[in-house]
Amino acid sequence: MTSKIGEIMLSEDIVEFLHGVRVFALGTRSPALRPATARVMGVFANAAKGQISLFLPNVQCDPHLANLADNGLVALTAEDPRSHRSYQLKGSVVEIRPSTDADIAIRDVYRDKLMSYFRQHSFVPLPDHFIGDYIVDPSTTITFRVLKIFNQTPGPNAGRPVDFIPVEG
Amino acid sequence: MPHADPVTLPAEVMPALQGAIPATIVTCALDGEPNATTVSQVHYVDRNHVALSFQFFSKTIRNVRENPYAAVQVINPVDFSVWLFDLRYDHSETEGPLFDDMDMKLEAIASMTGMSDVFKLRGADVYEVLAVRKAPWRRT
Repeated sequence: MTSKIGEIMLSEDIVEFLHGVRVFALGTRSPALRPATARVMGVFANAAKGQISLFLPNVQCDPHLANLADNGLVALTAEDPRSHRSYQLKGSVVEIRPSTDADIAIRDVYRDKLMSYFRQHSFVPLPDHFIGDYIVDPSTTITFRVLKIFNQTPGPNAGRPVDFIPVEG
Repeated sequence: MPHADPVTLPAEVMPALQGAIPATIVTCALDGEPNATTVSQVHYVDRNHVALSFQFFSKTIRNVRENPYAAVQVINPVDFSVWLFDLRYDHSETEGPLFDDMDMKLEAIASMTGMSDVFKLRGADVYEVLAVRKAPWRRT
């Protein structure tokens, strides 16, 4: 089964994947095409609106907010740390705002799940402060429209577009 | 062209270059599209160069050959500090001591992560370190 996400069709499988215990990284670039990276503290996939909201601690916002104000281009990776199943979602920013209480509730659930995962399942068990010591507040929510999705699971299919099906009509 | 004032990698960053925790790399195509992905190894070469494992013919590989800049984050597995690198692609090595070292290390990483049938080193991509800093992202 698929859901309509913006101008593409995104499988429910991917939405479910994004809401699981994943490691997220953000990529943006400057006007001079200099890339920058940050560690995202969870996402919310809004299938009805075709958008992904990511939660970025303000301490990590430089230089991303300036980059996004310049060009709005987002690259987001999501990796299952256990299986290495990975996707990259690319798109264009539609909104940047301070995280709301609802955003923070989602982020905190994500952070708790991630800590639980690393405590129990990582190859080398990691203590809670591995995640817990990240400074997460205050936080900014960056919402972008997904325009491209790529398989990034290591292997021969890495880099191939996923569910890139134009919406008819 | 060599950097005017070469950066020297601090000793504190060395544990982060052992490959215990995968790193993240962001690059940018000449058309302006950023690309983010995971990289298995960020390998110490000398005081102002690191090498990244080139395993697949990926968008990252294509990007740095047309726009050589890359942003990388690595995590120190000892104290979990995050380190940010600004890099510039220099060249790729497909044989020799650096390649052999990284190939051996990649085999170990692949074995530990169940990816032995997938990971294969195609090249050791050497980057000049333009800047390195400890990210102020964690309580210390």
